[in-house]
Amino acid sequence: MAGLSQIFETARRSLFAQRDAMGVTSHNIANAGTAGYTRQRAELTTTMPLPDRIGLLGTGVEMSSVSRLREKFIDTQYRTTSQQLNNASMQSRIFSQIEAVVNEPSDTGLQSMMQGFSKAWQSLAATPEDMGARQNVLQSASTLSNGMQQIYNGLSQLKGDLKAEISANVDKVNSLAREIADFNEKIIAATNSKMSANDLMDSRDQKIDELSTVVNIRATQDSKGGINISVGGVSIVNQTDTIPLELKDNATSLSVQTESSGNPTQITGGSLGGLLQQNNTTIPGYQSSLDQLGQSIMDSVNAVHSAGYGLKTHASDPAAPTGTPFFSSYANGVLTVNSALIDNPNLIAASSTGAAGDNGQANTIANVFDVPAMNGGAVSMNQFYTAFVSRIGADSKSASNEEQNQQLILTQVENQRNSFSGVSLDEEMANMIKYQRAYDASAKLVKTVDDMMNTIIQMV
Amino acid sequence: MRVTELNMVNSFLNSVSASRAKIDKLNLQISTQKKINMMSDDPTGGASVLRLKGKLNDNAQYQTNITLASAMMTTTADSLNAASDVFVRLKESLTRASSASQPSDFNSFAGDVQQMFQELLNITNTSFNGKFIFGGTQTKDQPFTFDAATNTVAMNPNGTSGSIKLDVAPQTQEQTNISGNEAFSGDAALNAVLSAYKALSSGTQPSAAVQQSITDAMDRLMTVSVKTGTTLNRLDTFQTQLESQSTSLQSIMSKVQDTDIAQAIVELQHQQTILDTSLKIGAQVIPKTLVDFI
Repeated sequence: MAGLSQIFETARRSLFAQRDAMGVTSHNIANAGTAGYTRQRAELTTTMPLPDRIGLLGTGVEMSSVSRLREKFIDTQYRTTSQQLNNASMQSRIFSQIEAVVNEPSDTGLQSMMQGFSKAWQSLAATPEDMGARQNVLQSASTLSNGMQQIYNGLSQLKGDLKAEISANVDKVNSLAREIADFNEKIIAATNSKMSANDLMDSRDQKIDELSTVVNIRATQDSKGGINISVGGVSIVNQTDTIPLELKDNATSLSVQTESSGNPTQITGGSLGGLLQQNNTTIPGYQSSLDQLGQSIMDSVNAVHSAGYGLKTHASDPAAPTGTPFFSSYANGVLTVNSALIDNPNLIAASSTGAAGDNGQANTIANVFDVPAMNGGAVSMNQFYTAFVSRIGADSKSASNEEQNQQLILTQVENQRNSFSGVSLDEEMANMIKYQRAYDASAKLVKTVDDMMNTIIQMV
Repeated sequence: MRVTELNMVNSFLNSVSASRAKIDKLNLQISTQKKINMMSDDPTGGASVLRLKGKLNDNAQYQTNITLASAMMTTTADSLNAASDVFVRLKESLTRASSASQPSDFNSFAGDVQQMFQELLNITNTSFNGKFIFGGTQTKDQPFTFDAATNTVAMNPNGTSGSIKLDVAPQTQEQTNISGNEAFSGDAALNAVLSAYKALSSGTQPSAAVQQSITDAMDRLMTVSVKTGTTLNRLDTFQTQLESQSTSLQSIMSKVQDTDIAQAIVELQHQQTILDTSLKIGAQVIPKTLVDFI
C-alpha cells in the first residue's frame, strides 16, 4: 500500500515530467520554421514500480529521453538525389552559357558568317576584275575568322571560369568536412556523457546535406555516434579527423585528390561533378569539333585557291600568279588569312584559267561549304556545323530534363522527410493541451494529498 | 500520411514557382515571337531553322546572280542587235555596189562601209560594269583594235573565248556572256568588213569569198541572238521559281520557328488562372492551425 508521502512523490514527479514534456513541445513550436530541424518527442515512461504486499506498485512517470524523429533511409535517398540534381542543374546552367556563346539560331551566329563568306565569293565570281569584290572577300574571311574565334575563346573563357568555381567547390568540401568533424567531436562527447545531442545532430545532418549538393558522398554512422564521410571512394571525414582535398591541374583536365597523399577521387555527382564533367569532357569536345570545322575550312578553301590564278593587272604583267594558299594557318579557333593576299588582293585566285574574267575558282569556293568534305567525305561543313549546334542544343535539353526529373524526385523525398520529421503545429497544440491537463491534474493531486496529510495531522 | 506545415508550404511554393516558370517561358515566346530562342528549346527544330536559313540565303544569292546575269545578257543582246543592224545595212550597200561598174562608183560606197566598220568595232568593244562583254574571260583587255600600221584588225593575243558562269540554282550555272569568238568568230567578221572596205576604196568589187564571209557573220549573229534570247528566258524562269521557293521556304521556317501567338496567349491565360488558384488556395489553407480554435 502506497503511503501518502509516496503518492505525494508520484504527483511531484508527474508535475516535473509534464513540465519537461511541455518544454519539448515548446522547443518544437519554436523551431517549426527552422531549416533542418527534426521534431523531438518527450519519451514519458513509467518509473520503476515498488514491490508491495499486493504486488508491484506504480510510482509514476518520468521523461526518460527526448527522441529525434529522423529516418536514415530518407536521408540517404535525399543525398543521392540531391547530388544528381545539383550535377544536372550545374551542367544545365553551363549549357545555357555555352548556348549563349554559340548564339544560334540567330542572324549573328557563325552560320551567317559562313554564309557571308560564300556570298563574298559569289560577288567576286560576278566581278572577278573588281578590287572592291576582292576586298570584300578578305573582309568576310576576317569576319568568319572572328566569329570562329569568338566561339572558341568564349568556350576557353568559360573553362577558365569553371576552374575558379571548381577550386571554390573543393574549398567548400574541405570546410564542410571540417565542420562535420567538429560536430562529430561534440556529439561523441555528448553521447559519452549520456547527454542528448539532438540539435547538434540536426546541424550535422544539415552540413551533410549541404555537402551532398557539392559532391557524391557516402555517409556511414559509427558505433560512437560519429558519421564518417567518403567522397568518390576516398575518406574525407574519419570521426574527428578530416583529410583535405586539393585541385590538381593535369594540363588538359582537372582532377581532385587528397592533399596529403595525392589519392585521386572519382567525383561524379554534385555541382563539383557537373563542373568537372563540363570542364574535362564537354567543353573540350565542342572545341575539338570547332577545330575540325576550322581545319576543314582552311584545307578545302586552300585546295581550290592554290589551284587557281590571281589577277593580272596589266596585259604586260607576267603570267597570273598561282599556288597561293588563302588561309595561312588554323589553330585554336584562329583562322589566319594569308597576309600576302591582304597586301595584294589581286593574288586572290578567282580564276581557273588565268583569264581576268574567269571565275571558276570563285564559283567553287562559294560552294565549298556544301561539298561533303568532313568525316571522311560523309558530311559537308554546313551539315557539320548544323549537327554541331544541334548536338549542343540536345545535350543542353537533356541536362535540363534531368534537372527537372531530379527536382521532382527531390521534392518527393523532401516531402517524405518533412512528413516524418517536420513539426506539425496541430500536433504540438494537441500535445500542449494534453500536458497542460496532466499538469493541472497533478497539481490538484498535490493539493489533495496535502489536504489528506493535513487531515492526519489534525487528528493528532 | 502525416502532413506538416512544411509540407503544405513547400507544395504551395512548388506549384507557384512551376506556374511562374511556365508563364515566363510563354512570355519570352510571345515577346520574341519565336518558339525557338535557343537550340535547347527544340534541337531538331533548331537544326531545321539553320538548314532553312542556309537555303533562303542561297536563294537570295541566286536571285542576285540572276539579276546580274540578266543585266549582262540584256546588254549583250542589245549589242548583238545593233551589230545585226549594221550588217543588214552593209549587205544593202554591197548589193547596191555590186551593180556599179565604174571604180569611182565603188569609191562612193567605201565611205559608208568604213563608217559601218567603225560602228562594228565600237560594238565589239562594248564594256559593261568595267568588263569588255565580248572579250570572253579576258574581260580586262580590249578584245579588238584597229592596227593602222598593218591596216588590219588585231585581236587580243590572249583570245576572246571563254564563258563566264554564275550559280543560278543549286548545282546549276548559267552562262552570262557571249564571247567574241562565238559572236564574231574572233576577228574574222571585222576583218571581212575591213576587206570589203579595202576593195571598194581601191575601186573593185569585194571578192566572192569576202561576200561569203559577211553572209556567214550575219548568220552567226542571228544564231547567237537566238541563244541570248533563250538564255534570258531561262533566267526569267529561274527567277520566278526562286521567288516562289523563297515564299514557301519562309512559310516553312515560320511554322518551325515562330510562336503561334493565339495559342500562346490562350496558354498564358490558362497558366495565369492556375497561378491565381494556387495563390488563393495557399492563402486560405496555410494560415489555419489548431491555434486558431483554442
